[in-house]
Amino acid sequence: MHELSIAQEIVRIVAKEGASVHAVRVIGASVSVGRLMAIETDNLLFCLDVLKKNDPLTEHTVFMVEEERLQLRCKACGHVTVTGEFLFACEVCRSQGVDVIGGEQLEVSCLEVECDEDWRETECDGEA
Amino acid sequence: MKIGVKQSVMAKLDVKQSVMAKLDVKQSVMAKIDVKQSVMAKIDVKQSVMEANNELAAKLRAHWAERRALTLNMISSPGSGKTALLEKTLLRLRDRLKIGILVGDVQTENDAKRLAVYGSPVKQIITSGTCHLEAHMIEKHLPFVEQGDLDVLIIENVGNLICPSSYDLGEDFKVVLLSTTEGEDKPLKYPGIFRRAQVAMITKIDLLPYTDFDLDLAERNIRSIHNETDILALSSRTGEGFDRWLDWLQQRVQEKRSLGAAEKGPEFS
Repeated sequence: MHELSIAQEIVRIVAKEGASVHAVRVIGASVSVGRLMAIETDNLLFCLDVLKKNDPLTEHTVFMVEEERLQLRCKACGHVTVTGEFLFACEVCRSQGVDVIGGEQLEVSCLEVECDEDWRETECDGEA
Repeated sequence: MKIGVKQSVMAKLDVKQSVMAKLDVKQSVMAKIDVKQSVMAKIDVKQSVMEANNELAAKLRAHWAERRALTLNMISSPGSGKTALLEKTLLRLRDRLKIGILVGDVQTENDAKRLAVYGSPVKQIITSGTCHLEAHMIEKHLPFVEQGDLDVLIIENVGNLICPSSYDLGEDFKVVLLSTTEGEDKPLKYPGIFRRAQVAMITKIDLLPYTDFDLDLAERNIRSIHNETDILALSSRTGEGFDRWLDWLQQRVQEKRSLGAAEKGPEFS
């Protein structure tokens, strides 16, 4: 159940980043979760939906979880294997000497926010 | 009787009207938003969720680097023999090394009491439900065990193979334990921790004759997740294989001591 601690931190980051761009509310937030982080997506989403209600900025935020697959660089031949399985071996030369170069991410990747027009004029350079 | 029914219908109508009134108010709010012309924007954040924990873990690592204290984070399922391993380790090394222990559990001080009899500084961290230790818990409890210079700080994590694997506590090594009363396929079931641990220990080997545990298969499974892991097989009860573990530990202490002058690390008190 470390999903609860992680969800707390995600909601904190989303609210902080939303406030820093003067958002009226945060509509959507994408979270990237590496395969090796052992996080259960449904469990995480459940925790996020409970915790988001504590802040008016995040109250209606729709959270999306993207899974980052395991990426392994072979120390022998240099090939990068991308896999959804937990097979720590090079798919080309079968060597088990591999470095994990992806699959350990856990980040809030982007937000979709609603801002009022004043903010657009001053900071968003007319971007819609 | 009939009149009564009529009245209740009237009452219903009243409720309906008040709902309508509410809707009107809502509409006017919507109109206000329209006038303001709210803007949707997509912004890149790319902020690590573990950042706060990892920053503190880096501070702890610098703190121990300055003190040349070797730090281990012991992780396993409940009942794999973490505390028994530490009891025997303290018994065998207490005259040679100053070892401090932080022990995490959801409830009770039982493990701290078991370990305190060996004269080493021990502090129980009761997490009250949290399934793992985080760097801030280590920071808070560190002053209780860091009396004088420690050679080794051992953090016994909450018994759990999943959650603790994601939290850096500033340790030098993660040590994962797997006992012979568990399945040989645990490394395949919990690849996260077996990938991150630099040392895998197979405990309770004195029970091998009484179980169907296949030691070779367990080692192969560990290697299939991380082929550079140091694998140690031992029994804390009989002492079989224990010298290899003590050698490993003392070797790492020597390596830590012989590191060049470390930068001054932060204080935690």
